[in-house]
Amino acid sequence: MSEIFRDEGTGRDAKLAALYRAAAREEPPPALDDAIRAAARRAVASRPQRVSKSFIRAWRVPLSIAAVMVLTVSLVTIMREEAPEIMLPPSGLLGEADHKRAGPAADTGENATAVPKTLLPHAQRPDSVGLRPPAQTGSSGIGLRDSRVAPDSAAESRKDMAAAGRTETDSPASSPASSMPRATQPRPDLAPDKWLERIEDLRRRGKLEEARTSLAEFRKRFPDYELPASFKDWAGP
Amino acid sequence: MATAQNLSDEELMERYRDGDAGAFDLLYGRHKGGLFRYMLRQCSSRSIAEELFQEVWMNLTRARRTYTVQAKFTTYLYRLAHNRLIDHYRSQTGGVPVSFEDDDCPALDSIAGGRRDDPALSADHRQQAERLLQLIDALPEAQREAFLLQQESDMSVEEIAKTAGVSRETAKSRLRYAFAKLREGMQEFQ
Repeated sequence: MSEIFRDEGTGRDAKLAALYRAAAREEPPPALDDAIRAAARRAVASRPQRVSKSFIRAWRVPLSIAAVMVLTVSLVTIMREEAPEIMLPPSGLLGEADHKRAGPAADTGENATAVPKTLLPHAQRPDSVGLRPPAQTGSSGIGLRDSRVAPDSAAESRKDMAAAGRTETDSPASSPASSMPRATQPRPDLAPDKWLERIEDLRRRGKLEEARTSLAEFRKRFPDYELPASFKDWAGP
Repeated sequence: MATAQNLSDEELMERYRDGDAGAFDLLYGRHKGGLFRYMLRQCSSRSIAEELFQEVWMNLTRARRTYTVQAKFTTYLYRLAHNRLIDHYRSQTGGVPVSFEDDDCPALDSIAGGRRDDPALSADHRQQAERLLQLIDALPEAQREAFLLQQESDMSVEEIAKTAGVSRETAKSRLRYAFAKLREGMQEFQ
């Protein structure tokens, strides 16, 4: 074999290759050629496009509806569990018809089974202002709030209430004050000076415990805010 | 079809994927010989080679819907063939590597028989060709595969490596050993 034709990298030898090409001339039998070509043509001809198109056409609408329902149910379930109050419109936005619809159920207690209390708008809750007279609003009202509600959800709720021009107690710790008019209860999303005014108002009314609780919350929210001198007499350092 | 004949293998395969059966005929015509000889020399019998050859093309027709051009068509085709061969070896030996140095290879007999009737080959040339095919048949399977991929589909070392699923250095080494053994075996004709 000639060294001239040799590729030193792979040892490839052009003369050997030429000899191989001359020697190796086998071809598949014609019958096998025909069988393979026919099968290839059949494969193309029997493309399942028509079948799949008719399948899609037949099931397009039901599948779309099913997909939408699954998505909707999933989203609602997730929202119920994670942020129930986001789903609800601010209570101030509820129309009269909504109040009427919610009323009987709330009165009979059906809403406890039909709709979880955490899903009810504030206006529909037993402790909500406006649905029931103050006399019906017991201390258990606040306790009905779902303990699973996350702090963020509670904050959202407070914002909703603020948007609706309402006030509400902020935490179970303030439940003893639930029987007092909501207007006297300070809110943490108020401006600091307004909040302090509310606290001062509570103190003047003799609601010292509520005032201290609210002040403690105020301090958490505004740790650097300097309290007026009048507070130092009763609120401590 | 004159235009289609100028298309590359990859373009023909894309046409076949899109439903053009004529494109397959052209592709098949271009590669049937090389692939058939690759199978013939890697199998212990002609009937098995024909069966595997047919299965490779059928696999190609089935896989056409997902075909995208990621490498040369020959690399794709011979990769299918390589995988089918490996499956065949495993089914025959239960996972134990097969020795292909069987002197009683029917495929070789049929190859030699066909060549004797070829008037294009002189007696001396025919003798050399028969000897070369015997030497190829005696090569270890991996070296023989590397040699056949290079000769039948004109693959580069990189393409051989990709087809056989080995590194470039391994493919190069297999080729080098294959040629060295063939050259050594052909010394009597120098």
